[in-house]
Amino acid sequence: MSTLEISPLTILIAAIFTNNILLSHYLGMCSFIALSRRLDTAVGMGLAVTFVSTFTTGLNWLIYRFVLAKGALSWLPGGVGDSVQLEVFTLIVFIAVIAAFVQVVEMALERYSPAMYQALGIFLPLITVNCAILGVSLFMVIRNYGFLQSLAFGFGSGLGWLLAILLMAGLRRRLRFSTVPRGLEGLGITLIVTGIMAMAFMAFNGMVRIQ
Amino acid sequence: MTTLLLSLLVFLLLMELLVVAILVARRLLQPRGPFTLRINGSRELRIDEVDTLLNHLYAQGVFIPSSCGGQGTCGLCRVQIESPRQPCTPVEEEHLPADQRAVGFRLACAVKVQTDLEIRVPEEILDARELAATVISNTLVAPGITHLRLAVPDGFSFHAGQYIQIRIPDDRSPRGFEFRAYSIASDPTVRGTLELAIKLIPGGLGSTWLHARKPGDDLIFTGAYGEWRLDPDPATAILLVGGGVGLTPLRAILYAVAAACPDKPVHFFYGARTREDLFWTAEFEALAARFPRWRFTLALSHEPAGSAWDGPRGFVHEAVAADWEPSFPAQAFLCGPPPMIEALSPVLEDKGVPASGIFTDAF
Repeated sequence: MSTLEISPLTILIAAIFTNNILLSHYLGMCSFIALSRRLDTAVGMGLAVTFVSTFTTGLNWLIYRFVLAKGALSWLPGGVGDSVQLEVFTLIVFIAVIAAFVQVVEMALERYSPAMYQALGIFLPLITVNCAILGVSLFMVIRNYGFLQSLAFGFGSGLGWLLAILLMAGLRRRLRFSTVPRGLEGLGITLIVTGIMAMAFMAFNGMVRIQ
Repeated sequence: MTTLLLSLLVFLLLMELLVVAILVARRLLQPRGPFTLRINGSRELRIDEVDTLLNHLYAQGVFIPSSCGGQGTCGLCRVQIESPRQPCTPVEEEHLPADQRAVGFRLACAVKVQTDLEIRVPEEILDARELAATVISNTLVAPGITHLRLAVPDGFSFHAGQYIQIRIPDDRSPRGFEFRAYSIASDPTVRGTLELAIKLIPGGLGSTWLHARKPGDDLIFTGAYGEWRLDPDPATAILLVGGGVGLTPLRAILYAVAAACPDKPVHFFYGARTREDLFWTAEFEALAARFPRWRFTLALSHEPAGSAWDGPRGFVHEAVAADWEPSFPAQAFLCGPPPMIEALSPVLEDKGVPASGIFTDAF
């Protein structure tokens, strides 16, 4: 089955369970560890990641398809479009687009929805440097997804990240009441638990598969 | 070559577009000044750009105390926002008790001025000035504790128990300096000099810099701040409990009481780890000997067994529980590490001291 035939729904489900951006690719770990200590911050950050990853994937797809991809600019007169090669700039353009998007969203939220800004605003700047978001955009290019597929992938990856951080916040709440060997307190046990959780998620593998 | 240049050109164009998009969004979405900032219903400031309330107040000469550089970690820069009411961020919730939040208290470093604001700050903060001081002497009085004497302008005055903020050079801060708070240890009736006791914290920004000051060095401070108020009524008993370097504001209180109302019953408990860590004790003993109703008790928590020490051993709150004979009304001033303050609150409750009579400073 070629990539183009996979339905967006399959991609969505796969991005949440079998190809979880955090648990199978270990992306977005820093904010995952920093913000999974409390359930409310975990929810806030998870929702912000979902929102930003969905929209930046769409935006990046459009920019890639109509500007960066090979031959995308061939409509330009005088053969200019054929002689430019912009694919090498993909990474840096994606980073800039994500950063710009986050800035604009932050300003818009602050202006029009102060309540939302209070809840999510402090997490938005953290997302600018969240590798899960960038990873989603880069995978979308490597895997040759179409627009709808990309949106589903971005949304699903965000939900997958939200699921992982929610589970982790719940686990860490219980960890607080358990005796952890001294050397493993804090970061150590969190990484081990994440690893075990990742292994548990491998059980989903038979469900759907994308790459 | 053309490919390279053309590609770069398109790439740069794309980046420019993003920058333009952000600038347009900023222009459309961000509120623009001027805003009016009204302080305590009287003073009005005009503000042209969006920045934090803390930075604006500092720039306009209102020296709100703050010792973390606007990071939201020290909790000192609290102001009451009278209108418009805004909810607190989670960072502020850790520093502001629920009753203060309910009446509009916020941390000035977390408030962005992007609308007209009416705020209320304690009057003493409006009176706080930025002043220059010169080091007179800087001598170690115990391991890691230096006694810093400063020459300050004669116009500077303070109440016993107040603190100042000293400007400490800091390369990592965007404005090149940070503030650190220190309690004043000297007699408030003496004008022109200030005394501080500063404990060296390895790697600490303020204490390492201050420990290295030499006589003749200049420094800048703001103040005085703090809401400790001594009850002048001679019938009000005074309990002072200081842990380690926490005795600094208590020394100022002792001198203030000695000058204004020496007939008060005063009991000063001084807790330290070992005999080596004690300082200024001869001075306190001499003060206590001068006034019949004053008592001075030392408690050492980590003095090795079998040493020449024959005074009380154990934590200072145990000494208070055992030795303090309260008379009412009473005021209790507690200053020291947080566990000491926590341990003291049930002791004082048992002795019947109302919460309104307890003043604490934990650090």
